[in-house]
Amino acid sequence: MNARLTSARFSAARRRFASASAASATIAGFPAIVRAQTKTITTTAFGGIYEKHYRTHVIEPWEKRSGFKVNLITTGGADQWLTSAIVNKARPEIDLPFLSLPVTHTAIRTDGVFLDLDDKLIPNASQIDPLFFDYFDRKAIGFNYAPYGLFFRTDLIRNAPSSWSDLWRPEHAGKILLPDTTSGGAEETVVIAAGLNGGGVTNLDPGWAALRKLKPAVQRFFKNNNEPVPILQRGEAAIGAWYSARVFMLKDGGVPIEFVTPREGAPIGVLSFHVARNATQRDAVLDFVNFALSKTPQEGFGNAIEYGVCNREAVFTGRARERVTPHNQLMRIDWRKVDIAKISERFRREITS
Amino acid sequence: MKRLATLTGVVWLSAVVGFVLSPLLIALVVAFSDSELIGFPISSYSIRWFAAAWHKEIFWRSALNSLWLALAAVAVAGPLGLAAALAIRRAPVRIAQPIETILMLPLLVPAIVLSLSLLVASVLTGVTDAPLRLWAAHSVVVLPYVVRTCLASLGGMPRQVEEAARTLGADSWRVFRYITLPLIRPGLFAGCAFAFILSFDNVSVSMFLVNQKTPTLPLAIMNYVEYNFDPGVAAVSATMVILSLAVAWLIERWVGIRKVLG
Amino acid sequence: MAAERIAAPDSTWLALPATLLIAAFVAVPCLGLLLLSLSTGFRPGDGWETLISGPMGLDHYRRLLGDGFVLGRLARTLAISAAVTAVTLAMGIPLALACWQTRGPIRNLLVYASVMPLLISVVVSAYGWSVLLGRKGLVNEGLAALGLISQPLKLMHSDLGIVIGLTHILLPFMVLSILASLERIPRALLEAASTLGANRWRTHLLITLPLARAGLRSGVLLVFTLAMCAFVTPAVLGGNGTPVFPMVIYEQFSASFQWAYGAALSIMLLVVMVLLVTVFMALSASRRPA
Repeated sequence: MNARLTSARFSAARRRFASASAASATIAGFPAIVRAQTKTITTTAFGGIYEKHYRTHVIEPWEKRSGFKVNLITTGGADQWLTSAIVNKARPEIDLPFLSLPVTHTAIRTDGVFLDLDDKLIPNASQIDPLFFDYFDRKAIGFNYAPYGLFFRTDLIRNAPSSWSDLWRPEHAGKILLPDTTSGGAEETVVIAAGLNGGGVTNLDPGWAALRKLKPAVQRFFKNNNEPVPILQRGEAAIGAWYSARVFMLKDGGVPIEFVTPREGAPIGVLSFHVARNATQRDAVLDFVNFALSKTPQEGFGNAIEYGVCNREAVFTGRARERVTPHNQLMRIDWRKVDIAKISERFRREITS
Repeated sequence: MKRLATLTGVVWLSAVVGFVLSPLLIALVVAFSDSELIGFPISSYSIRWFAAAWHKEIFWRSALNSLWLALAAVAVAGPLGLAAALAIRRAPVRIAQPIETILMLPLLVPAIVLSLSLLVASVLTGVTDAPLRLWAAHSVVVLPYVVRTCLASLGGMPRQVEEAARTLGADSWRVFRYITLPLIRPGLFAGCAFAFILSFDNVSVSMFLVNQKTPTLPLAIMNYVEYNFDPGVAAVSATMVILSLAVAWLIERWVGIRKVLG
Repeated sequence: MAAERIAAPDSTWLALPATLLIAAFVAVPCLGLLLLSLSTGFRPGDGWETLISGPMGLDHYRRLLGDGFVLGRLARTLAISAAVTAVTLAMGIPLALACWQTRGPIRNLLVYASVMPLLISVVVSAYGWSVLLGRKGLVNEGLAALGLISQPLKLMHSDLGIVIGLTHILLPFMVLSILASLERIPRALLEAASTLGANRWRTHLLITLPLARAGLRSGVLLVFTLAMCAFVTPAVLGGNGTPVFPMVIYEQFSASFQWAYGAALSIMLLVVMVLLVTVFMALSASRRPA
């Protein structure tokens, strides 16, 4: 970094105005060379407890056996990572964006940025359920999945919720926490609300109406997965919707809180790998994905974080077995029928503003 | 009545000064607190957060990035701004006026539009090297300020002085070196100091143009606050406040801060 | 004997490099943005060849003018900017007057105070305010300790937070503009007024401020336009979603992946800026210059 800018500074002193193409030819050539020589791949992941287990069970073992280093980015968010992938598609900064809904679907509909995947490139794809591979038109491959359900503070809520419609009960007003679009789950909330009122994924108007009614009762639409933690610890909010492992993390930390799979079902959220087409270390990236999807890392990660994983062969033991719901028991929303990005935008405009 | 009016004035003025200084002071106060979280009242103090923050690789790296970027921007804006100011001062008004307007363009265009337009241009042309586009963006953003301070310094110099020197036989270079430059130097230095701090502090233009792996220091702070609630950020902020104070003092010494805004 | 006038060599070319820099990195990219806003088939990731050869039209502008949400945000941003301008006037005038009339260490303190928000990063200011204004921030804790409130006030994550934060950042522009005007007023005028018996308030109201009109006007213009374009402060201190127009623009690029529409919104903001400046100049020109 230093060398690049220093040499650029001297050339500016010599010539008053450096033409963009000439300078970029020299300067821009540099990073690719540097990156190809150092054995590093860059990928993303979600922070906190997710990062911790991801490093232990996937990243570190792979680094040991491949000799490569993994540069893990946890700042920003899925939409920023996709934007970076598109903007830098000729020379990607992130070799392996690891994305979540709704960005995943925007990503697979964008041409020329990601590599089309198949069993030859990723042999372990044969152990992955089609829901996590073919569903993405083989432009991405799922790593793990998480159920989106209800939670409640057992000491503050008298009647345990059992249905999504319980969120609309008047006694919960002011104590509800729901995710914003940056946090994951917002789009599912809309579909669920529509389903409760006679609609569905292709007819969302009843859902929007129901959410507009719910809006004043919501204490906060949280923007990232850290926000709810102090709020729930202090009991300022008592009920809401979130992903299971996040709730269990609080429970294991001593907060009297429970995760509930509502009777209508808990939608499944999938986290997926997308391989940048022009990644400089493409073979290493594919090897990493293949490794991450193999039985041992999948089992290790899944049991540690208590989320389902996409490899069919993974076995859950102990407490994880109780807490992980197999994906065929979770609610599947066919996002391909809608433009999910438009749902996010409308959510931001009508619900969280 | 008079005394009441004066008292009201003093009270309001103190409130205003308090308003201006409080976020800066709070960064300093919190930075010295000893607790794990930011909360009041602060019970004990220590400097450990300064040590901890500056130990974090991301802050070190981004601070260095910001430093190099600011120096690079000044390296461009300084000479170009100086030259442009000279041209404006010497040219007839009908030429000088449009030139000055063009050079002030970056002040008219909203920072976010500037940043996005450069990002789009970068993507469309395929020249996506982050340091390069950051350098270009920062150079144009700070250029008007250098031009302004140089013009302000030159404004006090009568044209006749240069003409007199020329009449006495000095060539253009000597006129510049011995007459013009010493007169313009304070303005140039003040403009460059201001340009430096403006580039170092900049967020809205840098936001869309940075490299994912190497943000600038203000952006690193912004990212950090999203996930962390400890006083580490305050320590970094406090360091930046102290840096700004130093630059303010320098500018005031050289040319007076007023001249920077024209 | 008449002195020979040795013509100065034409040095206009000295402005060329700077002008080219601005042209290349401001004018041309803005034109690119304009082109993008007119492209109806553009998808993020396309190159400039696709942009130029693709279909063009005013679709995005038509959508913009019919988009109630976007226009509402524009109105809200104008309102916030007006509030910020009013507060900076109320704070800036006394501060500028005090800088002008005091001497010594007090003057230094006031000048530094006036300028500091300009020299610190927007992030430092916004972060400081978030610590002060939060539910468990210093202001709420202090007011609670004094027994003035029983529930914490919601000062942050709201338009109020935005106004406070922007006032802090933009106050120096107001103060320095007014101060520049004040320093052109001859001392003698003030002395004359006080000799004739006017107290300080009357003097300032009837004499000083009218004479500082130019500074007041440029201060108002600067603060208003900068408040309109502010992005970082509203992002940190504002409420949920996209409370101000620049954030709506940002959303198009980062979350909605609708770059062409975002470009149209950007051009709209630029147009609004130019309109504000033009109207302002016209209003100022119709009066006698101060």
